[in-house]
Amino acid sequence: MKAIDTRNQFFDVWNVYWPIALAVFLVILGLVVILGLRYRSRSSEFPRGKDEDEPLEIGYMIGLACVAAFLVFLTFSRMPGNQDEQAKGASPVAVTVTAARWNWRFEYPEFGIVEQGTKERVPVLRVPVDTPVEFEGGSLDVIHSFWIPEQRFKRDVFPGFHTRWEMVFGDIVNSPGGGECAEFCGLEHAEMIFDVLVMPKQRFALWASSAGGTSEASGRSAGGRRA
Amino acid sequence: MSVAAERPAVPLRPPIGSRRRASLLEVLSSTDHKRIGLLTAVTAFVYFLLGGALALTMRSELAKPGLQFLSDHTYNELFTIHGSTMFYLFAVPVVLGVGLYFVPLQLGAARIVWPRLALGGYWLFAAGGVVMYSGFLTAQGAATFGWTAYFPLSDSQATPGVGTDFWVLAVILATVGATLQALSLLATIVRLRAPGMTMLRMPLFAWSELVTVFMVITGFPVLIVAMTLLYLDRHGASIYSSSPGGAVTWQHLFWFYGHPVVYVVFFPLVGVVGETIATFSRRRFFGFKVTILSLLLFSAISMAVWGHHMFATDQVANRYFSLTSTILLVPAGIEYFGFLATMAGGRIRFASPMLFAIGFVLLFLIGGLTGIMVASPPLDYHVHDTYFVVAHFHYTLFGGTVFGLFAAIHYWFPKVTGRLLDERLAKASFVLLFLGALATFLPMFFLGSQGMTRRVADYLPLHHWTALNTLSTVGAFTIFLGVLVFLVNVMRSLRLGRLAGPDPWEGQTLEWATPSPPPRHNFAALPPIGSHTPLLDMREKGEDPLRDLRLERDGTGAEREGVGLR
Repeated sequence: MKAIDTRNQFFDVWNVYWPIALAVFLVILGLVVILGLRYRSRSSEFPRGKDEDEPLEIGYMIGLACVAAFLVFLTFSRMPGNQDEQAKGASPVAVTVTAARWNWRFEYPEFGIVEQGTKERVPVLRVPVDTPVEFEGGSLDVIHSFWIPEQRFKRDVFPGFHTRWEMVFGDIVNSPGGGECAEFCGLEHAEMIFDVLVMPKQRFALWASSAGGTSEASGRSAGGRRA
Repeated sequence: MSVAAERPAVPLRPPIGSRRRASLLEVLSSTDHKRIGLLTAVTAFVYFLLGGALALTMRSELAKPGLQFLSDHTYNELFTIHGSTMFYLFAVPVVLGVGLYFVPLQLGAARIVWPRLALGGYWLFAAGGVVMYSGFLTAQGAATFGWTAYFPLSDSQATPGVGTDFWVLAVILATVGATLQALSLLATIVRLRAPGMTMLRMPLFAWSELVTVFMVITGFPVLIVAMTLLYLDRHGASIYSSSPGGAVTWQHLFWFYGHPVVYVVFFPLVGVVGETIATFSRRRFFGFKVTILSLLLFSAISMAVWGHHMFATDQVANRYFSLTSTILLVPAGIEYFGFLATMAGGRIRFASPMLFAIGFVLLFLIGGLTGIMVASPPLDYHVHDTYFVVAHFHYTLFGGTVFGLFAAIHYWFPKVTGRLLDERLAKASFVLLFLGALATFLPMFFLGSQGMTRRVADYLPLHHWTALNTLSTVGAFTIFLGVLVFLVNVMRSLRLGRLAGPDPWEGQTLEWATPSPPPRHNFAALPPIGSHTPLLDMREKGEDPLRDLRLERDGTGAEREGVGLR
């Protein structure tokens, strides 16, 4: 089994949940409309009928419990344990994420690379394709949240301790503004973004060996942050 | 047309405007549960209008990318005070206010236990609102960290300012006030039920308020303490700041209150909607006992789901909280079964309360179904803190609480004022509110899953979110129009509405067996109570539950004094 591909994890669950939700919505909408039309009446009669039907209600309750059990089972089956699912093949790349109001720093300790966002420059997160990336994140001030919408995953980063997560990037993309801070962190929260660049493995290796010690000047100007 | 026109109304003089107005002091110091309840609910509704004005301002800003007329700082104040208003100053007080008015009436009680406690609760809550809004007048403005006040963003370094301290104090005041009112309500339900009114003969609404009160007294004290500690931390004491775990501790304490509270503002409306559907289907609520059981189950589990707000932190047992949160679909499904099964085989009249009740059923459903989605961590990792979640909880809070409240207002307005609301205006406001709720919040699901985070004043044009945001803003103004029509209807009907008589809808529960508005001590005489629908029982036997009222009137020629807001 592959390392945690957060997109698969999301879509495996999403593709089951949303059709069920839509179906339930349509069934209840249909019932409301049908019952409303069928039993609409100006009659001043009080209808005679059962006010409860315990076998039916209990049976229905059991049915609901089965639905809940199915959903929980599906969810759990797509939540791999933290340790037991290591990637086969490619050895992981480690990235240390440091968030501070209102920017990001990405460090690659193996390569001695520090990618620092500034007021003028949007930082770029460079990762190799199809390779597990092990993130370790922290904050220097308040809580932030590292979110890459394309990867369908976010993880909060806190001051004072580190959180860890692993991601696999499946496609080669250059996604300006592809990462953002999702946890409200104050005045310039909306501008706390980063670019995501998923590179072919060889190009990443080349970049990692040549860019050691510096952050590349190829980052986009932060002038584009706000329209 | 209302059914009231088809039956001889009990002849009562216009109850409002016909008597000396009570002075403001009398209104503010009355120990009559109806005055306390109405005062609380009306004040909460005023805060609802204020919070709505803030929302309209934000939606106007978000209609287009770029900053139009707000600064980041002002925007942050607006969403913070909008959310805080809607929870602390509107939704919680309004369900307790409606409860204080109607639960004693439904139980055949003449008063509440500890009326001064409930009245004091009102003062604290009302004052809390004034304190919170006065934050806008301070140099650094009102609070800017969201209604959840996440630590350490809420500490004195990240968010300094006396307006922020005001916010903390205001939340404490309002929450203490709500807790006091809940205690009074609990004691009333336990001690003042009329003879024959056993627990299982309490109407659905009274039950839903009882279950709500359980959650209030369990969850609210935790917030009061957590906020007090936050205040101390902001003034030099190292409480949350003493360890790196303080940020997580705050979230635990906050959501231990914060999740039950979303059911606090929802359950009483389940009761209202259930009774509305039953009354306008002319039959008993289907599966009454199982529904009561489901409410109890719901509230019990609701104390164990708070961690689902923290999936993205990775600091909680995600599987446990995912399990408990998903299980909630069982009691929720039972309630929906009751709504639909009551309609099946009924004689349904689509008067305005019924329309709002159906609006509740459909709109809350969107919130509930997406709620099951966000209970799954792999989905929540993506949509947490985005507009998807904003859309989800607005379907529960706007579709649920607000539509339920409008059902309650349209259902009970004649009882409280003695006059009927105008049906045509009511239906117009329903259509506007319903369409507005769809147009405002549906686009947010797409915005959120495409990457728009909540709590941002601005977004980049490159994301192509402009059309959806503009649609959402148009929806917000549609809601505004709906509320405006509603307010016109209320103002007009207070003076010109047709007289309602005691029981315009042929209600099933005791509040309809007394004049509208009810006299100071609620009942001159009570009908026999043999079930949770005593009036319906009598009508099915061909008896007239209002016979005593008519006799009393014919015998003496005197009216009983009604008690309204004025």
